Amino acid sequence: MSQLRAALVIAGTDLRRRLRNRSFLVQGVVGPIVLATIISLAFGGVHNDIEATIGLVDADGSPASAGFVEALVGADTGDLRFVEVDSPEEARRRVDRDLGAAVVVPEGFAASLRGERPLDVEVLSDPDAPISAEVARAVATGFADRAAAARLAALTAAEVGDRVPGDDVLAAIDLPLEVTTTGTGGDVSPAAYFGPSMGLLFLFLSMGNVARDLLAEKRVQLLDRLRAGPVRDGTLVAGRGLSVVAVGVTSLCVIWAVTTVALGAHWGPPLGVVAVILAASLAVAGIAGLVAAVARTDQSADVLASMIGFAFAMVGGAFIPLGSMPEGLQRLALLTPIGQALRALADLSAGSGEVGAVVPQIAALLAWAVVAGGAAAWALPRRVGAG
Amino acid sequence: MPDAATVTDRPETSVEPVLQCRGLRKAYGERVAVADVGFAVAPGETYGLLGPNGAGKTTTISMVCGLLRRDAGEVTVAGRPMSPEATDAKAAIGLVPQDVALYEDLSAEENLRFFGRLQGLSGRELAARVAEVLEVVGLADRAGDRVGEYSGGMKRRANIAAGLLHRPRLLVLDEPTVGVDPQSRNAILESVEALAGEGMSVLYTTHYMEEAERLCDRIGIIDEGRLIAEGTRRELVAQLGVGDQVEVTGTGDLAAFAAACAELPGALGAEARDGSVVVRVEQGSTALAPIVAAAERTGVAVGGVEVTEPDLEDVFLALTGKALRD
Ligand SMILES: Nc1ncnc2c1ncn2[C@@H]1O[C@H](COP(=O)(O)OP(=O)(O)OP(=O)(O)O)[C@@H](O)[C@H]1O
Ligand SMILES: [Mg+2]
Repeated sequence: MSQLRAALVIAGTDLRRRLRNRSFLVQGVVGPIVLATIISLAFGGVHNDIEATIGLVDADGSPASAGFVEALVGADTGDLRFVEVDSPEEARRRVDRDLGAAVVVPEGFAASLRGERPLDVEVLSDPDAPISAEVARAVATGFADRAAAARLAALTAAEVGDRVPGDDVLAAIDLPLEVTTTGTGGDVSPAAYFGPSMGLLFLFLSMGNVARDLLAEKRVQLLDRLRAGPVRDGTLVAGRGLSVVAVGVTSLCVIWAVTTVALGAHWGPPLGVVAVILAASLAVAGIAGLVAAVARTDQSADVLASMIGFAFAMVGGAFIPLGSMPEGLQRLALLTPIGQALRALADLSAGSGEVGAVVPQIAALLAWAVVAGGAAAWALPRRVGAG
Repeated sequence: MPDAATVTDRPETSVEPVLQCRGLRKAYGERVAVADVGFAVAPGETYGLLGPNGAGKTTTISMVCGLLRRDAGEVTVAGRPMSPEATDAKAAIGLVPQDVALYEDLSAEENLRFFGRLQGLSGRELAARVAEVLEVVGLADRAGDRVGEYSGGMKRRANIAAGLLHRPRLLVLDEPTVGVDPQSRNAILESVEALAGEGMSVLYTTHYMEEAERLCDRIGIIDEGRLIAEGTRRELVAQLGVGDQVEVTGTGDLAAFAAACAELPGALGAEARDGSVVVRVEQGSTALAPIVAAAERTGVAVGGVEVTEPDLEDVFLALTGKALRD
């Protein structure tokens, strides 16, 4: 009997018991969806059409930035409107009032493309207008990405011939129009944000289950029975880990399906969404294993899980969309696995990123999984094991 | 150490024992749970570890099954050295823990299928074995019910079933009748007898003397982490040196009868009391006929005869100065 097969048998039974348990339905599906719906309504409805006005500031005055503003202002983007604003200061004043958010191409942007480090395209947002913030972010990222691509092409060309990329090359920066046009399809709905955010919150809150189960199995000597069989301690632990991953994937996929069908949410390209869901579930499994390795009682397991879960959720932007957070907090959010997962899903949803664009977030989630899971894989068999 | 070796190395077990352990030791901090335990279980033998609460039975079994890392000593199961990593040695063992080690939210059948799969069974063979063991413990008609809905006795029986699935060479039962009603207890003892009758080796721990006497071919008496005596029930009782007691009630010259009895071969002493004679003999069953003959010779009319053998309770009392519980 291979240990791999044993791990799969353990994971299968664990999963079956959990899915059969009513608490999975409550914690894994109904809870997140209900909460996501409520929060989405509070954040401006679950309807599909984006109604927003985004300000565009061309402080740079380069052909590239002018072209960018001109193209968007002139584009037919339905209820999503782009208006030109004269200065960053004016944009900042108006973001709270008639503008949902604003994108600022800073002075010297085009010139900076010739240097070592290009300037950032800035997004001004209002916490009360998360959709506008996401749209603005998507537009800004799209423009910056293309500027970076053009810069790279120009620099490569410069290696061969001219030393510096000329204005003509930079002016040819492709405009991120497709971002805005797909955006009008209702891409950045609150439900597409809060569905996964609540799903992740509940997954992290239920991390204590692993510890609870192991402690209960120890109490009634179920662990003794398992360990008296031809199954290694590491296999027992790996089986649990697999089952946590499977529960996470199941829960998030059901939420994905329900928010898509019932609330019209658009999570983005399926391949990317699945990759993020899988990576996030792996991270949950790793951290849950660590909680189980540390917790000595059911209570301590639950306390640890809720502390970690709520901390990650608060900081990671599960309650307030990342896009409408101040820059500093957004960076802080990316220190948490929930923040990484939500950043990736928001990008996929906004359509600014294909799967490739969320590779850094997926890598970060996998790093969580490997580091926490590795520590758990070392410590947990010793906890369940032979003392 | 040499003592343990002489106890374990029984010359008559020429076949390789299914379980062999020597010099087992386990301490939890200052407390020595098992100090020096060694014994062997021959193929087809039922071996009992008899001892009071806290004697070290579960700790010994945990080392035997590779659940616990031992501080010293050796364990071989079916010829393979046992350790927490030894999956091959573990495959030869079926453990029935002291608690009901089953998932209460799964049916008995689901539990058994799960544990059977982990033992490497699958497909038809698995289905057949699950059905068989359910039959053995008499739960076939309730197989689909959740274990949580079972009575205490049924849970115990399901618990035993889970240890039988892979036809282990050695079945290890840790106090399987604790807290069980008399009816279920009897059912459990009967199924253990049946399994032993089919040739399975059994290691059985208990603090009930009657269970050890009824089930076990040989018994090790364990107290405070040490095996203080070992042998068949008869050997253990013989160690006491007090012999069986035959009490003959009758009328006639009881003093002369008693004197005649004391002279019989195998007699350890005889005493006339009020209306009866009490004879202590090495073995009650063989002494009976000579005693009755002596009564005839001395003209005593026998009213009744009662043979009492000392039990393991007496042995334990004599060895430790304490009573076994119950
Ligand atoms: N994990 C542990 N930590 C500390 N001491 C322990 C541990 N397990 C057992 N002991 C101690 O070791 C001794 C032997 O315990 P063990 O459980 O082996 O006894 P037992 O013969 O099975 O008793 P019972 O009939 O009550 O089941 C006891 O004194 C017990 O307190
Ligand atoms: Mg015990």
